Amino acid sequence: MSAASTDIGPETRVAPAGAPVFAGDAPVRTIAEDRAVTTMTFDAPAAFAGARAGQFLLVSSNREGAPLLARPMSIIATDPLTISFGYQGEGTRLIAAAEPGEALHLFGPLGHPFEPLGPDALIVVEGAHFGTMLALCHERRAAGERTRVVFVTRPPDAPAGPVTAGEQDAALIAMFEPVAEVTRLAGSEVVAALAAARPAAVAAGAFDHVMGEVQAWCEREGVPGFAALQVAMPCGIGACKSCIRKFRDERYHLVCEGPIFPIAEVAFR
Amino acid sequence: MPDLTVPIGAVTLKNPVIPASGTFAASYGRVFDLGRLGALVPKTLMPGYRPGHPPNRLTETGGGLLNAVGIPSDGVEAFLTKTLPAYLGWGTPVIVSISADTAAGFAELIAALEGTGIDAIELNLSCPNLEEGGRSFALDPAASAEVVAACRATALPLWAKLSPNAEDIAAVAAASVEAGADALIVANTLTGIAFRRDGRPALANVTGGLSGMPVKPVNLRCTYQVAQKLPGVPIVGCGGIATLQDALDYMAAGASAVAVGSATFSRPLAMPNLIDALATHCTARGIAARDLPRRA
Repeated sequence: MSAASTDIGPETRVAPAGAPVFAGDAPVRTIAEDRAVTTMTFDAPAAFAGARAGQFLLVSSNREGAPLLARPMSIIATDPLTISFGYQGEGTRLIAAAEPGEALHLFGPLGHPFEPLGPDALIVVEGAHFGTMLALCHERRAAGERTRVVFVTRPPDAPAGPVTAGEQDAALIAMFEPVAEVTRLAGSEVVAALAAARPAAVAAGAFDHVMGEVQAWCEREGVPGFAALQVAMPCGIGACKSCIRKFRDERYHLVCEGPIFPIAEVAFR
Repeated sequence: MPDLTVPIGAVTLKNPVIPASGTFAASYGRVFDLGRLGALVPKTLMPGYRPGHPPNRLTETGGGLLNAVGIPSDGVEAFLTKTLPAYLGWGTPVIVSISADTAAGFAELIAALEGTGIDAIELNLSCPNLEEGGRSFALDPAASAEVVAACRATALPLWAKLSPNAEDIAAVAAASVEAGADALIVANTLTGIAFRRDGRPALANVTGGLSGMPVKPVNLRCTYQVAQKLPGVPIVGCGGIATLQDALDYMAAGASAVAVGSATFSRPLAMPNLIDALATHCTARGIAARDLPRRA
């Protein structure tokens, strides 16, 4: 150690920003599947107890041949720890193939949760982003807050893994209905839906062209909006600098440092 | 508990396991005690702001990773005020990785790092040399030596990180040591390309650096060749290290320590687990880490 560094003791150490993060194996408690949407619960480590909507974890299989990188999943609930996902690639397929009692590798909770949206919030969500928004609906319902959901559908013939998008969307909407008032519509109708609903706050996670419309409406109407971003996250904690998105300041920002951002900051067009 | 400390020139590592630059962040302190690591290595620092490459920056391929991150950097001022403080005070050495597009640029960075409490400098020689048409310094013995010589005025130990893409890595190593490098990191990533199913390149930059298990035999060979050419020069082996056997293989090839990169993305506790495995291994044999068998 250099002379300079020996002067720096633990009392001058900068504590890592953020709560402790768990990394290790956790056994699967239950698995349910509906039209290629898999919902999984875990015997969760204590670190996940305080996780909130918007936060995520990285999940990977311990099976032979599993991809090197874990897959990011939204934390839908913490008692028990719950994830829900539609699978398309080999990584998610292997995770979905886990049996009850099988240990998967978990890393989390990661990211920052949603800011409080207040009593009158509307959520715009498309299939791939459903985990984050379902978690938000659960959280708001537990707090006694009403949530309206605009579910942006894809064409029924669009592929969504082993089933069609229409089938998978139906399965996802069924997950939202117990905890929110759901309207199902095409992306082009989102602005009209926002104008009719006049929410006090918006949270959106959808296709970029839809996000751009929501962003413009929020700015026009002076309504606070939040974007839930979703990209591949190799490390999830800011080390690899790969989970980037272009923002309106013309710089790339790490999605894992969100993944919830003020919608005004993100470049969607 | 066996003695796991290993000397890399004038720097004594707490144990032989350190992060590979570019694969580590202080935020891992939320996962494990950073003071457990042999040293801490922040992401490579460049002189000014650099956005890095556009997405996609990383893809899985053949059991490894291909990345073209492009060394994004917020520059020296942000590094000194925001990044570096999170690495100091853990009771383990701090090795700062730097890069620039001219030899003088490297030297200017070091001047800014003097007296900040860091323990050594890693010269990331894989950056394109703007004075030689963008060819990586690390491919050429003379260019690598020029960088090391430009930086040698510092009292800080200089560790040169070499490239497996060099035609004769041992020659680059020898030139770097001749110019004043105190230790060598062998080696960086191998250049590769991957395509998507639709035929488009998987990375926005098209080419990227291959890391992880696929590069291990290549970087082991590089380590062996450098150790044979330069016996006594400390080497940190790097490339595809995830398990105890991987680390022991690099030591057998002549390395004194190992840098772990891609494995951390897969299993964040890869480094602490490797340190534990090394401790168990040394205890079972009644030896210190510095006495682990080395060919060179």
